[in-house]
Formats: sequence, C-alpha cells, structure tokens
Amino acid sequence: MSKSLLQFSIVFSLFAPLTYFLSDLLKFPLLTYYPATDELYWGWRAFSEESGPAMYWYGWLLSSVLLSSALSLLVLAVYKFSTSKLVLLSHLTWLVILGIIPFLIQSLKFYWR
Amino acid sequence: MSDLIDSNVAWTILLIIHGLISVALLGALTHQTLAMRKPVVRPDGRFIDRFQGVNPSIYTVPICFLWVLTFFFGGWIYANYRINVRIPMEQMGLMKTQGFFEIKEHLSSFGLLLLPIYWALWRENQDALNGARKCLTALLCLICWFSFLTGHVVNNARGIGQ
Repeated sequence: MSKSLLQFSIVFSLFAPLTYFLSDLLKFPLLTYYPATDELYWGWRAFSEESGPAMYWYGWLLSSVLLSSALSLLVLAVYKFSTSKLVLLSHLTWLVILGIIPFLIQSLKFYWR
Repeated sequence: MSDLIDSNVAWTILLIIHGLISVALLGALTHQTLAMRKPVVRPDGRFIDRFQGVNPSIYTVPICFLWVLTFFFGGWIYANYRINVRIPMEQMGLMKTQGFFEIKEHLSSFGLLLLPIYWALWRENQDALNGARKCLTALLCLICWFSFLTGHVVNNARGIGQ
C-alpha cells in the first residue's frame, strides 16, 4: 500500500467521527429527509406539520465524509507524517471515539428521563 | 414498496436480510478479534484454540464488505423505522429503548467511518501499527455486538410490520 493512502486512511478516520458528531451537535447535516413524504432538502430543516418527522442521519454521514475528505487532503498536502506520528494518530482514532461516547450519551439526555 | 408484495412483508424481508448479514459480520469480527490474541495454534487443539487458530488478516476484506452491506440495509429500513416504529415506541413511552437505538445509530456510523483505517492497518504489515490495529478491531467488535443486541431488543419491543 502506498504511504499516502495509508496516511489518508488514518487522518480521514480520525476526522470523520469528529465531524459526524459536530454535524449532529451543530445541526449541520448536508441534507434533511422527510420519510413520510419522501422529500429531500439541502441543509437542516425542522419537523413540519405537512412533511412529518425529519431525518438527519443521512445528512450527518454525508457532511462527515465530505468534510473529513477535504480536511484530510488539506492536511496531507501541507504535512507528511513520520511512522511514529502515524502510530500516534492511529491510536487517537479509537481514543477519540471512546472520548466522544460520554458526550454522545449526554446529548441524548432527552431519552434518559 | 411494490405492487407484487405486501409492504409490511417486504420491509420484514429487508429487516431479516439486514439481520442475517449482521450475524455473518458478528461471527467474522469475533473470530478476528479472538484470533488476534495469540498466534495460530495447531488445528487439533481444544475448541477455543481452533476458534482462535485462524489467520485473522483473512477476515479484513469480508468484514469491510459485510459492514457496508449491513449498513446499507440498515439505512434503507431506517426510513420505515422512523415512521412505523419510532413514533409508536415514543407513544408507548419506551424512551430508553429508543435512546439505545440512537446510540446504535451513531456507533455503527463511527464503525463505518473507521473502516478506511481498519482496512489500511490490516493491509500494512508494520509491527509498529500492531497495537492500534488490535484496539481498533476490538472496538469494531464491541460496536458490532452492541448494535446487534440493541437491534434485537428494539425489534422485540416494536418490530417493523407490527
């Protein structure tokens, strides 16, 4: 495997869960889907009486993939990581997820009443 | 969904396909995670030795493929779930069950987003990356078990087609 592909994979997987979680917190889905009426809109839209409940999950994923890809390409364009840095970043990917989980549970406090 | 088949039946078939693929994914990830614990042993040992006694790297591509496929079917039925399962569950007051499903939704997305590094670390045969490879694989395995069990509990509480 080429070193640049390895670097991209590691940096992408480091950014992607963060951008996904931020897309959720900051209401930044690329699109909103209304499953009851099969309507699709760019960006974040609220529940509406006509369209029914909104789904943001697809939008969060798309936002995350696009943002993380762009960020990764940008970072790798200006910085090349040594093997020891890649090892550190690889460990950070799973540590970041473990770090996000408590905040994720807290963000869902509506359900724990 | 189609004029040929009742809508509830079609969604149930999709849910079963989603469940069956996830069983295969669960098996492959559990095999790989346990096989990482120690090197391949002689194949005539105890059951647990035989279970662990496989080359873990052979599971990598099938696991990526199965994760994407499970995710695809999960994403497909999710729209139906949002209308026909989540709303009745909220009306039934099953908020904690719903909360656990939300965690499953996010964790399985994290799993999908980790696949590039997971695949790259298994492809890259560097000893320095062994630790991260093991931790990531174990995390994916935990996410898969959590998602699988949560999906089952939610389906027991209020399944598609009920």
